[in-house]
Formats: sequence, structure tokens, C-alpha cells
Amino acid sequence: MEISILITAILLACTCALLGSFLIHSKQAMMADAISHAVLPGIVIAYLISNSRGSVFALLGAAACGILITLLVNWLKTKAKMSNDSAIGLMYTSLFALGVFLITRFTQSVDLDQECVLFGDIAYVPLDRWYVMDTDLGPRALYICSALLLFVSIILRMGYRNLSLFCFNPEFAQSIGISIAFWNLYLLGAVSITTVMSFELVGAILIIALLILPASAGYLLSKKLKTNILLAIIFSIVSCIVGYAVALQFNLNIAACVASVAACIFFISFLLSLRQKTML
Amino acid sequence: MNSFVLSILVGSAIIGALCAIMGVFNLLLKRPLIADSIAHATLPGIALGFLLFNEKNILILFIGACTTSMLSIFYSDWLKRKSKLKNDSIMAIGLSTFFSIGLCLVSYVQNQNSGKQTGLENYLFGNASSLNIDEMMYASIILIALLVIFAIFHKRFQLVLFNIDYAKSIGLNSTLYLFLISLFSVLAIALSVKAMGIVLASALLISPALAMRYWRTRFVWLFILAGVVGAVTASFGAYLSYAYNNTPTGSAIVLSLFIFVVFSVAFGNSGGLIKAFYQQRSRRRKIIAENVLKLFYYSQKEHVDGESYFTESALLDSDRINENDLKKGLKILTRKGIISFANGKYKPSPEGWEYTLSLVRRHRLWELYLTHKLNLDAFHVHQDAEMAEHLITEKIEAQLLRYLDNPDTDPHNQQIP
Repeated sequence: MEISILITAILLACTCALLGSFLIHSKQAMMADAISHAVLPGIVIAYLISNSRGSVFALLGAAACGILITLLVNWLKTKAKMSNDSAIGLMYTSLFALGVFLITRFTQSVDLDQECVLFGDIAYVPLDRWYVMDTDLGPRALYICSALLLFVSIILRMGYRNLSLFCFNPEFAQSIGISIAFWNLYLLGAVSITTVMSFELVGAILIIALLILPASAGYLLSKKLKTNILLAIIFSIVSCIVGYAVALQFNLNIAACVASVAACIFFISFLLSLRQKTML
Repeated sequence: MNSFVLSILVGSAIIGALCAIMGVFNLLLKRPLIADSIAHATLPGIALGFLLFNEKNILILFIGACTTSMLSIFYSDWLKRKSKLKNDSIMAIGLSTFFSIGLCLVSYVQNQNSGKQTGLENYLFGNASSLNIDEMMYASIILIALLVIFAIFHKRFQLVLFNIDYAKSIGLNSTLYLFLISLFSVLAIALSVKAMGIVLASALLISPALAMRYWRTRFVWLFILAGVVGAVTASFGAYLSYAYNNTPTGSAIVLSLFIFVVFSVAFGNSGGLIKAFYQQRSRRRKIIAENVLKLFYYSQKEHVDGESYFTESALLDSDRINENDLKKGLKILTRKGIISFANGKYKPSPEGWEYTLSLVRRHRLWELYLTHKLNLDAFHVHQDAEMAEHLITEKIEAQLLRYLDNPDTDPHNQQIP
């Protein structure tokens, strides 16, 4: 049992829960899914250039890939008159395919493989340590995830008023001069940075589980955005603890277990919401 | 190329056609991303099938995949009916729920069989050469069944796809048709995941249908052409991954599909960007030319002696147009022979003059229509008429004339020519 894995998972899940609450209110859940796939080529190229994992600047470059798909989807929608879903479906599969292609063709020497893309390797968190002047400061991922949580919290706190307006009533927001396009990019940009940073920990597809499931569970049981966020954070912490315990018990993949527990929590809260329309 | 490779290519083509045809259905139902959801939901079924029977019995894995996919569709429907969640959240919930449970099972399977190749990796990342003869047989049977059902009932499918409310009202069992579409989508995807990989399988449904949207075709041809595109790209991708070692089949197929979609978006004859660009340009040029032509009318009215020859600067003096547009408009009109140029002056030809009069007439008729029939104030109608005059056709003009009883003057008391 290694406590740093659990703490890393909780930090990451909280970050995702915060973002997810805004995503499901602004109908961007599938866009987030698309971003979590589309950053793959960016990550691979970043790895190829820097020839190592974890260079923060290279990863920020990869996050640009997430912004890129947002812009491309928007362009296809307005210029080529594609529907939102079609544009998302086209772009994310293509970018993900490009990423997989790059991995298999060019990354024999880099320790990035297809398994890592799907599963992530959060179990190796304690092994990758951060040294400053030969002093062991603990697992590097712990620092990355703390910084990420802090960053996302600040970002969301700063834009809270405008973001909630943008989520709940985009027409009104636009009428009082709030740019829809800007806040859309603001939110999705934060999602794409989170995705890139957490990619090697939980893998591409499980990020979407952490983004959507706790937030949706909170959404079903709440009336206000603030309660929604609070519930989402509680649910994601519970999913991490229970999921980690289950994974240890049965020797399973940690990230997959956390996501499955989150799915169960969502299902339970859905059943609860059936009995009683709104609780909080 | 040996017979093994040939069979892989044929198998890929059949699966590609099947997926592409189902993609058209889902695109017309405006739910293209359901393919993504279905594909992810095959994983728990495959892993469970492997776990319970501990062998790679193709049929069992296939049935497992179909079962969990159908379950995910029912789950999504249930959420849609009973919760306040939005559609896209439901989609993301469905796919992440099933996929994460699937990954749990896969990691369990891999622990149980540590050191052994389980073949489950093929399902995650796709490999056309892992297709075997059984799967190709299933694919052919399903494709034939689909074609037969569709050939018999295509009218009914068309009704359900385009106007489901009307279909219901005439007593068509639309639930059955929607169920059939879901079922065949699941069958197609469950077959394709092994070649394409779970994450990329949805592209084989979405992209061919999406590309065909940019070509003008009849309803039935939409399916046939999408099927052909799916078949060709799938076997092309399979060939690429065979010819260049280390190229994953799914990626090769998806990237070739992407190129085809880009081509269609650019060159398609229905909503393609290049065609749209030229249409827009010719519309813009027509408006500029017509605006210039009107200047001749106004300038002539303002001249006491009824002069119909005008220099460029005289036309510009009217302050109704900027210099660039004027130059462009004069060039277009001269080239078309609507106006002629002599001694530094421009003059409309007789036909050109007729055309000018009709433009002014349309403008003023429209103003009259807005004030008399729609009760707008005369002060507001000019701007609207400035646009409408370019759009009104001869037929609408005749109707307006009849409707307004062949009027003489417009709301501003100017004569209608």
C-alpha cells in the first residue's frame, strides 16, 4: 500500500470533478471526451521532440492540440455546416489515429506505448521521484497534480461568474457582452491542460470517466452549481478511496477500478434521483 | 499477395461496408456518436466472455460484445427518459461506465494469464490480420440480412428516418425499426472492433456517412455509396497495415477515411466549400453589378436633360456606392455587354436599360408591399427593399404586381417604372 498513489488519484479526481461540473452544464461532455483523445498526437510529438516524459513545456504544447480540436470542430460547424456530433466524431478519431500511428511508427525508443495510452500507469507514481540537489522530495506526480489542482481551482474561481452564466444561459451571457467563444475556449483549454498532465497517470479514456461521472452524479442530486461541485468532489474522493481498495484487494488496474466505482456511484445517485426528484 | 492476405482484405471490405451503411442510418437519426458509445461498450462483453469460458471462442466473444453494447443502449435510453441529464452527458456516461468496467475485467484477465498472450490487445487496438474465417462469415451473413431487410422495407425506413412523427401517425411501428437500426449497428461494430480497435471503431460508421453528406444523391444511393466507400477504405487500410509493418490497421483506415472526408468537404457538390465559395462570390458580384446598374437610373433622373451617358466620376458623385465596388461592377457589366463604354462614358444597352427598370420596379414594389400589406412604416422599408430587389424573380414580380393591383407610385410617391 502506497499512500502517494491514493493522494495523487484524489488530487486528480478533484480537479476533474471541478471541471466536469461546468462541462456537463455547458453540454460539452462529448467535447471533453474528444479532447481527451485528441491530445494524443500532441503528447507523442512532445515526447519525440523532448525525447523524455514530463517536460512541462512540451506538455503545454500538447495541450494546444486540445485547443486545436476545439477550433477545428467549431470551424467545421460554421463553415462546412457539419453537425456538432459529426464534427467531434470525425476529428477525435482522426487525431487519435494519428497519435496511435505516430506511437507505433516512431517511438520505439521512447517509453510510451499503446497500453499506457489506455490504462495509464498510476501504480508507478511512487517510483518516479523528484530530486532537487540530490534530495528526495517525493513522487513527482504528487507535485504535478497538486499544481494542477491549484491551477484549475484558480482558473475556475477567477471565471466563476462568467462561466456559470455561460453554462446556464448562453443567450443572456452573450447579450450582456460575455464572449461565448472566449469562455468556451477558457473551459476547454483548462480541460485540455488537465488531460495532458494526467494522461500518463490514468490514460486517455479514464480521464473522461473522472470528468463526467462524479459531476453527473452530483448534478442529479443538486439544484445549485455550488452543491453540484461539492457533491462531485465528495463522490470523486469516495471513488478514489474505494476504487483503490478494491484494486489492491483483487490486484486490478487502479485507474479502471476508480472509474468503475465512480460509475457505480453515479448509478446509485441516479436511482436515488428517481425516488426523489431533488434532494439538495 | 497470397490467399491469406486476400481473405483479410475481403473480410475488411465486408465489415467496412456493413459499418458504413449503419453509419448512414445513425447520421440520419442525428446521433452519429452513438457508434462511439457502442464500440466502448463491447469491451466488458468481450472480457467477460473470455473470463467465463476461458477460451477465444469467436462466437462467444461476439455474443458477449453484442450483449453489453445493447445493454449500454438500453441504459442510455433509460437515463434519457428518467433523468434531467443532457444527451451528450448521457453518451459520455454510457461509454465511460462500460469501458471502465471493461478495463477492470481486462486487467483481471491479464493477471490471470500473466505471461500469456490473451489476444484481448487486438480488440483494444485493432488488427485486421487477426480476423478469422468465422468472423468473415458472420459479417457476410449480417450484411446480406441487412441488405435484404433494407431492400424490402426501404420506404418504411426512409419514413422513420426523415419524419418519425408522421411514421408513427400512420401506424408504422417505429420502435421496431429503431430497434433494428440499433441492433445492426451493434452487430456491425462488434465485428469491426477486432480489426479497428475499440476507440477507433466508431470512425468507420461516422466518416463514410459524413463524407456522403457532401454529395447530392438519392436516398438509396446514399447507402450504397457509403457502403462502397467503407469497403474500399477498410480494405485499403488493412492492406497498408499489411504492407508497412507496424502500421496499426485502425489508424490506417481512419486516416484514409479522414482524407476522403476532407476531399468531400472541399469538392462535394452539395455544401462543399469550393462550390459554396463560388456560389457566394457570384451572388456578391451579381449584387454589386445590379447596384451599379441602378446608379444609371438614379443619375438619369437627377439630370434635367435626361442624359443617359455617364462618366465614372459622375456615377461616383451620387454617393450611393464606394469606388471599388463601382469599378468592379462596371467591369462585370461591360464584359457581359449590359453596358457599353465609349468616349470615357458608360451607357446601358436597351436590354440593360430594361433590366435596370425592372430592378427599380422590384425595389419599389417591395416597399409598397411592406407598407400596404405588412403595415410597416414607409420610413423603414428602404433598407429591406435594397436586399429584396436582388432576390425577387420575374415570377414573384408578376405576383406582386397582381397582388398590389398594378400600382403607379411607391410609398415615397415615386413613380414605379
